[in-house]
This record gives sequence, C-alpha cells and structure tokens, in this order.
Amino acid sequence: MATEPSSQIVLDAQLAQLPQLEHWLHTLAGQFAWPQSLIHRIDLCLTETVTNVISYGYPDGRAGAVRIRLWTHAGQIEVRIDDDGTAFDPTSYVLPALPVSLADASGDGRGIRLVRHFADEVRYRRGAPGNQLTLVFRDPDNAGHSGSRDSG
Amino acid sequence: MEMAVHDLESGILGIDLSGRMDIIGTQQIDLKFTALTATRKANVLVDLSNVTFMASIGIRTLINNAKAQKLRGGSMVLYRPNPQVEEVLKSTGIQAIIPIAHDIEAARGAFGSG
Repeated sequence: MATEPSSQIVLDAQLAQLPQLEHWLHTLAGQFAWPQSLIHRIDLCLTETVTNVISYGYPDGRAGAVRIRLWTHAGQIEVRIDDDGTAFDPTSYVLPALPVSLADASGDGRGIRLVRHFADEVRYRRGAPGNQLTLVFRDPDNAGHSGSRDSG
Repeated sequence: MEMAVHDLESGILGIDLSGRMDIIGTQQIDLKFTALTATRKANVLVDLSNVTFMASIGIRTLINNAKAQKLRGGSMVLYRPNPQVEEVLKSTGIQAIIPIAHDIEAARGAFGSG
C-alpha cells in the first residue's frame, strides 16, 4: 500500500512488549471511536499473530523486530504485520479438525483458527525483510465515511 | 490476571478469573490454576464473567486442566463468559468438550452430564 499508515508501532520481538501493543491499539480505538466488537476483533487477531511471531519466529533467541502498521479506510481497517523471523505462512497452514472430546483436543493451530474467524481477509507475503501478514477488518457501520485522520 | 477461589454448594469448587487471558495474563495464574483444578478430583466451576479477553493460550490452559480433571474423575464447567469471550470459545469448538453455562442450574446439569 502506497499511502502512509494512520499509525504504526515497532516492537522488539519479546513477549514483554505485548502490553505496548495493547496500549497502542486501544489508544487508536479511542481516537477513531471504533465500536467495541471491532476493537476486540483487531485486538484478538493482533495478539494472536504477534504472540506467535515472537514465540516461534526467533527460536535461537536472536533479537528481532515486529512492525505493525494500520490504515483506516471507509468501512474497513487494514493492519499489516512485518517481522524478520523464521518464514511462516499462516494462510497455508492446514487446520486440524475441531475437537470432539477432551482427549483429542490438541494445542495446534488454535490461534490461526481465531485469526481466520475474526479477520475478514488474511493475506501473506514473504518479502526481503521477512514475513508480511495483512489483516483486513470490515466495519459496515462506518462504510459511509473515511476514518482517516492524522494521528501524528 | 487475578484469581479467587471459593467452595460453592455440595462439592463444587468455584474459581473466579478476572482480567486479560493472553499469554502474559495466563502465565500469571497458570501454576495456581493448575494446582487448584487438576491435582484433586472436583467439580470445578470456572467463572469467566470478569475475563475481558481470551486468547488461544488461555483456551489451552482451560483445556489442559479440564483434561487432567477428567482423568481424576471430576469435571470442569465454564461459567458466564461475556459474549466476546464466548464467541472466541465457540469458534474453536470448546463448547463441545467443556460445557459452558450461564446459570447455576445449567452448571449443575452440566456437571451431572460430565
């Protein structure tokens, strides 16, 4: 996307940075007056994605960075997560069947399932710096105007 | 996250969770939650009404301890999640393996069926 994002944040690839992500998102949500359901969807998908990147993208413990950019458009919000960790495409991950008993409930893929459920679009691209995941959230209640604003 | 424990009627162990059940919040309660819910046989009622956010790591903790409790002959019921948390639980199929109840009568029935 050629336009400047409405806002962005860069995190060290450490789980202790997650509260900063939450604070950034909720500050934006207040500025743009997003409805609670939309805030929750974005919060959940970002939390799952960034937690996964930090937990598995840097297995050797090396330092890394995760950049999150967000664009607001009329009726939708686009979030792009770039990281320089291990290549991983969550859009091609084959989800296991939903569990039918406690005994067969595994821990695999639940976060990816949540992202696919709560985001309206999920796109992946492997570029020169690393992984790039784009999430789109539609907000039909605000389709009539652009929420764009200079957030400084 | 915070956790409170209290004995309810006739053998039901009530555990009230509150806060954000992401990886950081879950780590804060995980050991104590496991000690309470998975180390002795009980009917465990996990009150989620004050859980504001549920991530996959939180669901994993619930499943692991429900699984351990079942092996001991007890069971777990999830109680009064808010609509957003309930949608997260249902979108991952949890209601099929750990009952979700919104009133105490339904919870009693769920323990009975477990």
